[in-house]
Amino acid sequence: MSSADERKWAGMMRASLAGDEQAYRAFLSEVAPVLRRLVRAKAGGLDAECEDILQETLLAIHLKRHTWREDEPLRPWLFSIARYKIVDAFRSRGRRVALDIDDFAETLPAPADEDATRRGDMERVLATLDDRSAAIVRAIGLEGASVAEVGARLSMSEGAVRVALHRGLKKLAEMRARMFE
Amino acid sequence: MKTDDLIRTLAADAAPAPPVERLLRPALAGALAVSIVLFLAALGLRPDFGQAIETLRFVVKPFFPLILAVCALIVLARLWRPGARAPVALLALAPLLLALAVAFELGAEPSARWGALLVGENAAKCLFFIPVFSAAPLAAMLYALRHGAPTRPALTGAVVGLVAAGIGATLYALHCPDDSPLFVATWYALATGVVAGAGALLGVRFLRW
Repeated sequence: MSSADERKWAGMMRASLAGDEQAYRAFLSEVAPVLRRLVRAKAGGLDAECEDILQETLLAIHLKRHTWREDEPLRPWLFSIARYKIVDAFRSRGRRVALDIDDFAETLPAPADEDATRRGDMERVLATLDDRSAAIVRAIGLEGASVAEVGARLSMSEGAVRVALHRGLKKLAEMRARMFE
Repeated sequence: MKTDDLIRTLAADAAPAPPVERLLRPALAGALAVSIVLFLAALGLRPDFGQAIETLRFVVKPFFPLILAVCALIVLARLWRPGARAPVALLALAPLLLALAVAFELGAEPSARWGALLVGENAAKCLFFIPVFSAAPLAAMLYALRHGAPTRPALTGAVVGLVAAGIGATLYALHCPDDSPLFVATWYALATGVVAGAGALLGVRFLRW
């Protein structure tokens, strides 16, 4: 990753941590193809699982983003989380991989993007959530509803929707991990 | 769910969680209070505290575990953040100081006394109470650290154990009748090792994410 890229991403992360939804979405959208490439490079036969592993990694980055100190470089932090999660994800699927910071050096996205349309395992995990959390995640994720719209639909305050969404995402990560135990 | 859909969902969960410090401070403070209460209820200060405090050995003794606890806490603060380099070498400071103290002791005391100094009056009490006073800080820190992202769960758990044992041993030192560095280097170290080992095992179990 060039230092210009790193600075750009660090700026986006700072904005995200301040609550800027657009900046955060842009950040994740830029990081995802880079991580996808990283995962694919190690897949060797587990190609079908790559998108799932990528999604697990993004979820982990999301849930632990408060561990980045804004006065510290972004790359080591991002790589460290990605490596921990990717190695763990492959290990649960019976494959040992090793990741190196040099693997992370390039920010070229994965060649073909058809994987971005793959549905992935998250659906299965969503089904294990309670009805309300699952409904919130689906409404926001699949239908593109805003937090306010979801609140109106389910007769919940915006704040309550946000709390439920956050808990739902944490549960998603937990259930995902348990599926492989 | 497509990755783009997931990203949309993650972006909607806009407010990030508070930093680990925000949870750790009250947790540690509370656990410290529990340990202090336990200490006062079970043991209390050494009966001859007034005289003991005039001896160098007694005054110096609690500093070994205290320095260990502080160093371990500094290392821990880097361990719960992915990508941060943890100054693990700092953990050698307390043992080094203790080794120096042992060297002085061996020089100052006739060799006939070394065995008795090492065995001390009540090693069993030491081995029992240090873990007891470490328990609350250990549990509280592990609980708070689940909020972080430690990429080396076993090591992180062990370092948590060192902080906890440092706290427990500092308290115990205020009651302990055995002041010789030989005793400390044997029994306090053993108790610390046990707590650190327990921390490592618990880390593997509870600190994964």
